[in-house]
Amino acid sequence: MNSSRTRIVAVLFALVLFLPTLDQGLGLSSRFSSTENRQLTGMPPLNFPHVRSYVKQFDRYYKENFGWRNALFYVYSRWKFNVLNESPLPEKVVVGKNGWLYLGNSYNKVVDQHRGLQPLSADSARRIASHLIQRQQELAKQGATLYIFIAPDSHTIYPEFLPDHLQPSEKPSRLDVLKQAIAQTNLPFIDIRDTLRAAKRDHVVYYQTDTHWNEYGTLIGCASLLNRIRHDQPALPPVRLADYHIEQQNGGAGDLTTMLTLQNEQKDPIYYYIKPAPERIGRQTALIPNEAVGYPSTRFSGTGSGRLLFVGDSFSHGMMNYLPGYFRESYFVRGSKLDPVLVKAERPTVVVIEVVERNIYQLATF
Amino acid sequence: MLFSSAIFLFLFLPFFLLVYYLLPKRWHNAFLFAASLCFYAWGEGPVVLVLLLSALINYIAGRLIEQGHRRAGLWLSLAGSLSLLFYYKYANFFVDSVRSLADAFALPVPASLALTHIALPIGISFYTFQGISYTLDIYWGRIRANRSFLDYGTYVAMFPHQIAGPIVRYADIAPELADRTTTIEKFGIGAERFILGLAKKVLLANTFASLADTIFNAPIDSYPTATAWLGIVAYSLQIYFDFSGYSDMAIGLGKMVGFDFKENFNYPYIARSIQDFWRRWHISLSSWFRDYVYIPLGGNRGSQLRTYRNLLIVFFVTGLWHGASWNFIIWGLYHGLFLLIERAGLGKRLERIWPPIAHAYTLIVVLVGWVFFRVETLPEAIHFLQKMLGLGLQPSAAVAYPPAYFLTDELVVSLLLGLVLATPIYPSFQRGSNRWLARLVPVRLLLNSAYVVGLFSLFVLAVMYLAADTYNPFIYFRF
Repeated sequence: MNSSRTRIVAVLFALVLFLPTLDQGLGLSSRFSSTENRQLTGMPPLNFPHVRSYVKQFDRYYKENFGWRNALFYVYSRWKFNVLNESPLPEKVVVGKNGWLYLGNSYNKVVDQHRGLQPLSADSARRIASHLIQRQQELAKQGATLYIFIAPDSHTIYPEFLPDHLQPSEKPSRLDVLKQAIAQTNLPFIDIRDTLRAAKRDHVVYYQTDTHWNEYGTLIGCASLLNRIRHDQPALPPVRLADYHIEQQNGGAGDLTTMLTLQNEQKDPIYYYIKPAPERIGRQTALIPNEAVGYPSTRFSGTGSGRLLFVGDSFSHGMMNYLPGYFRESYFVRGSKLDPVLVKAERPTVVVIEVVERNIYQLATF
Repeated sequence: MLFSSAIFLFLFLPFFLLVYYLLPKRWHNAFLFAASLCFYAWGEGPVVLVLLLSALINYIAGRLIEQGHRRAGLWLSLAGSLSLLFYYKYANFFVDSVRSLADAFALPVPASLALTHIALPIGISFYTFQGISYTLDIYWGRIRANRSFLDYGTYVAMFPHQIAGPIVRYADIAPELADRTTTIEKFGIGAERFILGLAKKVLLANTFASLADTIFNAPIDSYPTATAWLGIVAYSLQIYFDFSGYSDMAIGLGKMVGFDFKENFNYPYIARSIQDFWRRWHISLSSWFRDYVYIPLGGNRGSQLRTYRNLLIVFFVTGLWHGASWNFIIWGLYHGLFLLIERAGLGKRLERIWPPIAHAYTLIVVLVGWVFFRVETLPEAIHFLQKMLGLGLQPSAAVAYPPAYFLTDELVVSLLLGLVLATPIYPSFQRGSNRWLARLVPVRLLLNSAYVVGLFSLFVLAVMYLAADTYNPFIYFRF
């Protein structure tokens, strides 16, 4: 081998090996901040004689904090996304067509659910239905009506932008199986898949770069829910789209692009700014920290009638912009359990349980 | 600690090299020994004592043989080393097999016949064989025993080859153990070899591993025959690039500290027979079995039947050496069987026929063999082989994993690169271009610079993939 070349390789290799340590000391790559929404492992204390546990902790600390790590991931992400046209984290984010991103299998095997590889058995569906009926009866005794509301996955509403090799199954989905089981009962079950599919002909209803529906999709979802509640409780004000000022703007980046550190490059082309008419605005009256779930509960007062207790997930966040305007009082809680103590304290007339489609198994223990 | 981990690359290795090069030469072995023990203990904890015990047994055995207690020394080495190996690697397998056999014949099994799970010390198969070859070589008068435990311990524990080989024979590195030179050129050659090994491991082997794991972990009725073939090809490339990449890194690290380890792979997938395959695959292991098992058993010096027996013994042990399970034994005997067939006459025919047919025969035998190596149980292996033949459970109308499911641009490029780099095309090209460059001095500088840039781009790319592997953002950023 050429000796001058080997000398250069030797010197460069030695330098490169020390660069991460230099970075840890001098913060050379500090502009590449992490987008990991989690507590990274800190430098562990040496608690002699527990050396083995120290070694494990230090190993974890080092691989999450070695110098240039964030910068390397930043470059990796662009290499995979822009050059190879693939997802940098395929288990977390699926790269679809026309700029669409979808949640990947690492979250409750959502892609496999849509591919029919994680079917829901009829027995399981019956068990969920039976559990919900029990909840419905308990609430009825306290004067409250229970509504089950399912927010669809973006995979269901926009399957056309999924990659060809991840197309949804033609067999009945988990939600179809559950819906069929619940149809045998008198439980109000709101499935808005068809409504959203119809609405998407006029407006985009989900963010392209996020796991959630956008403001317009949220409004459509709220309208469907309210219409169903109004069917039982006619005192509720009617829902009119004319009560909302809808403005189309350029979008921002969603949670899926942030996970890939591409938030400055990949943005939604469309974003809806929606403002309710003054009489349809709910006034936030309290924000109550909820350490158990990590997200605060929120109380509203509005011009409508009745008391709403809403237990939901991240899809319910945007619903707080619209629903409180139709009730006298509304209380929004994040979680996957209906707390009987809370029901007793709130004395709601309407209880809504909202789960996203990929989590319908949670209804078995709600 | 793995060579392909951030903690090794950016903490252990740089500070090890810095101190090693700052220390006077007479301290090199002591420091290498101490650092190797730290390297081993970091991942393995107190099991480092097993390594030290094995080294001590063979060191004492070597001294005993040298002092004239030949049989006592040899027995100490064999009984000591092999009992450690048996206890840590095979005791659970032995007990489980006895229980299964008793169950099969409905024999009563005492409740006391059970072992709590024994953790396998990584590298024990390698350092056991290194120790045995050391004492056998002294016993046969090929080498002199080392008087210094520090030097001998350095040979056994040396971190470049300690975890996954290659099996380094004492005789091969004895002169370097006593006196070795380190130069910047040798360091550069080692660095280049290390980077290429790391790239093989991280960029190729890991990519193929992900593909093979998905296929082998999927239900057998969820993919078609073509996917099964894709899976076994991916696994074959994974195991080759993983192991040869590790050997490259070990050889590179050895060079950085002044040792010249022998090559462990010589493009095994271009072999024209199974005999040729074993001359090219894991060379240090196959030559170890040849020199310390096959030849002492009589090799091919006796009758034809005796040669066959010896071959089958060697391949039975080869299988068992790779892992404590019946599938590894089947894999070993399967290879042994083909060697017998080749010895019985097929080998001569393979030499005469059109080479592509001999290559195809070898590849098919090797690929089928890897099925036993990859899956855990015999029924699973049979199901997978049936799928490769288009038999058995076939997928329903909606195939979950057609080949197209896996064939991303990156995978296609990796597969093509893998197939090319598993053959000697690149070294031939390099030799040709070097000859050409020797005549074109002005361009040489430019091409050398491009080569260095390419080499370090590979290094950065490999480290990028390592960084991505630890990157784990949660969902729900917005709220």
